Amino acid sequence: MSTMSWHCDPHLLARYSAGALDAVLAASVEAHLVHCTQCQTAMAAHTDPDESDRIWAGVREAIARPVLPWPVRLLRRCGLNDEDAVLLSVSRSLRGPWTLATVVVLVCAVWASFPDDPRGKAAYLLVAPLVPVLGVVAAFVSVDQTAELAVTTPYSKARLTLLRTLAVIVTTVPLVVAMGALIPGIGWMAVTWLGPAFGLTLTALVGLTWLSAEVIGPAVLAGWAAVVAGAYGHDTVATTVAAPAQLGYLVLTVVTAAVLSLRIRSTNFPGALP
Amino acid sequence: MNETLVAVEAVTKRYGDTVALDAMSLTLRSGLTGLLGPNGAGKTTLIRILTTATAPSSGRITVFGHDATGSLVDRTEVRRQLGYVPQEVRFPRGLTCFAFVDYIAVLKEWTDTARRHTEVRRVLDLVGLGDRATRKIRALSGGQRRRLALSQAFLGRPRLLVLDEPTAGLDPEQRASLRTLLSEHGRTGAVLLATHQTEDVAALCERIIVVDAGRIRFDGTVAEFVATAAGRVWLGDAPLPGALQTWRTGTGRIRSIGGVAPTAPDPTVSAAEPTVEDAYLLMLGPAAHAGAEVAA
Amino acid sequence: MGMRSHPDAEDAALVRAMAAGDEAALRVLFTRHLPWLRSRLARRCSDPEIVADVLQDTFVAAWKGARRWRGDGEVAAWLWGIAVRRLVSRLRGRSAPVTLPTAEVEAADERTLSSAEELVLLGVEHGDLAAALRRLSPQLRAVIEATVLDGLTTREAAQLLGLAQGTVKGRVRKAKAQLRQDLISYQSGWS
Repeated sequence: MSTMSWHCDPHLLARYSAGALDAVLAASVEAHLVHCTQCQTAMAAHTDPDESDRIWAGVREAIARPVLPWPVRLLRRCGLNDEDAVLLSVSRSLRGPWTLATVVVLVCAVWASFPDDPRGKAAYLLVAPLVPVLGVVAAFVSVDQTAELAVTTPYSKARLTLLRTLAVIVTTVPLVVAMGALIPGIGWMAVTWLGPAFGLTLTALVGLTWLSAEVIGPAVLAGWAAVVAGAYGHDTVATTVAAPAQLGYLVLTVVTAAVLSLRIRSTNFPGALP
Repeated sequence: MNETLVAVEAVTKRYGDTVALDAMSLTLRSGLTGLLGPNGAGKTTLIRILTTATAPSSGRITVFGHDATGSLVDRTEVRRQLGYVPQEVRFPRGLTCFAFVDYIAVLKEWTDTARRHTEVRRVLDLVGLGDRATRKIRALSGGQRRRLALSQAFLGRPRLLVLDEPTAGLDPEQRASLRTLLSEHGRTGAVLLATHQTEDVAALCERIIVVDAGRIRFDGTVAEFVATAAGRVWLGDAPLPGALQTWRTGTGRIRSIGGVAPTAPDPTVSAAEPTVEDAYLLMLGPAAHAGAEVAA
Repeated sequence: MGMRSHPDAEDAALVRAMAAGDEAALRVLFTRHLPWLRSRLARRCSDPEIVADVLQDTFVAAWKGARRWRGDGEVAAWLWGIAVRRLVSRLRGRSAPVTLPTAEVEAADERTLSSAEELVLLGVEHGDLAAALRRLSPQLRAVIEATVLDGLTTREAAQLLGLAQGTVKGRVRKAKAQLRQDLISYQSGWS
């Protein structure tokens, strides 16, 4: 482009930017401008610098705004406010559980399609309640990194905790329920897994007020795996979500919710430092 | 202007059997205060208690009239007035500079999006990261990361600014511009600066607090602190016996800190003007820089 | 790195730097291309507010799309492509046709446009086509400008000009026929 020898003279450019050229001539100037850095630069004389600065300020503002992860964008469209979207996008934890849920539930679908194989059901029961638990734990692992700073800010940590937990639940639970409902043979389990899911999630949150996410995650996982494996060993997988068990999960949920609210009211919220 | 902004009264912090702070008491007024001490002296523990990051085992801390060890309401009030730069800031993965500071700004209750974004821009410009706002944090150099960690502390112009080793990893030019920034801030609020760097303290602070083994060893003006070394620093042709530290200066003479002063007048030995570093070395002995990173 | 090394950088290098998140590179590209883009948009839309909005959107889109820029073709043409499409989508749904500020002023201007330099420009950019374009009616010229020179699809051109798609198609067909006729007679007259 710099090898071009012919250039528009200033008068021609002035008439062009004032709109005083005929259409063909103006089109010719435009065709030339696309290729010629020198004439592009010369056009600066015909631009209001204040207006340019205003436009630049707008550009700068727009590009700095961080791109939100897509689950957060989805929540944003459902009415999540800008502040909460910023808080959620930092933990970046929503994408992992989504992927996990999709993959695992698909695997279970294949398994469960063999009618006589109880392993599909067992796998579904093992994994489904852990999806929200792992989502919550992942949120705290990634955010723990800034805990030292976050603790000393005035924002309510209880609210932050609940926000993260709810976001994980809202983005994972409907998916797991829907996929469970589509798998033949899962039946009521597509919904009944929610009992242990809530109990385990709250247990994990209470645990997080004492220990780090790296300890709590594997501990809850191992505990639930032991329960399911035990039932599977006795060929009674279904009992883990039967009525008596559900009552147990309800008690667990209520007790852990009470403990959690006590712990949060003291200085010990999940993810707090010792 | 010179009322007490922060009062620490008989604060003790124990970790198991280890006593990190031993019934420490001090007050802070507006202006810059340097907190000097070797690693493990209790600087970081004191700072973490002051910033409400951790609770003391006993004692009381009042910040702007609010009990920093009290109820959640009181602690929240303290946090609203606070800017804090921890010794080490680890950043969440995948964020840009802007996104990180924006996140901290939300935690600091900047609810109006437009005003928050303007404020985030302001503090990034303040530390010279304005044209790095859209960069991913992982693409930043160590010095730039340190400046990013600093920037969030200035959000909302807090009345109390607490910085743990703020100049670590900065080059001399950046260190100088940070000093300008802090001295401006010190005119309106209280700044507490924990460091190994006696030059930072000498250049910036009116007041020095020296801590060692969980206790305060000195609390006074910089001039008073330097005066503790008066008559204990010498220039001569040879190192003084028993000196803590000796080195050959640019003029070819040997500077000795501490050691046995000549009893009879010696024409080859003369007293030298002491510095903050000299006073610090003399007060704490060889332990003064124990564990300090060589980087500085 | 940084702003200091950029002012003379080639457009392509700037776009690559933008893809790596370099805001200073965008600033240089903005300073270089904003003026002509503004004038060119202003010739297609008389509302300066809309032009300013479109310009802002254009550079934001360029920033976000820098990673996808394949490096073939000119950056200026790429920017114009973004800008004119943003303009079209911005004007979508407006019932009033867009005024083309200069489109009608000129026809009478024919006598005054013969400075040597302008003739050179016409020759350089469009050659024989310039004279043929000039003989088109303003309506036909507008659709050629939108479709051929600005590179819009029929649908986009219709939105920009506030016309029905069928009308645009018809006018393009008519204009092409007229141009072909004109160029053939021009060349045969020459030889």
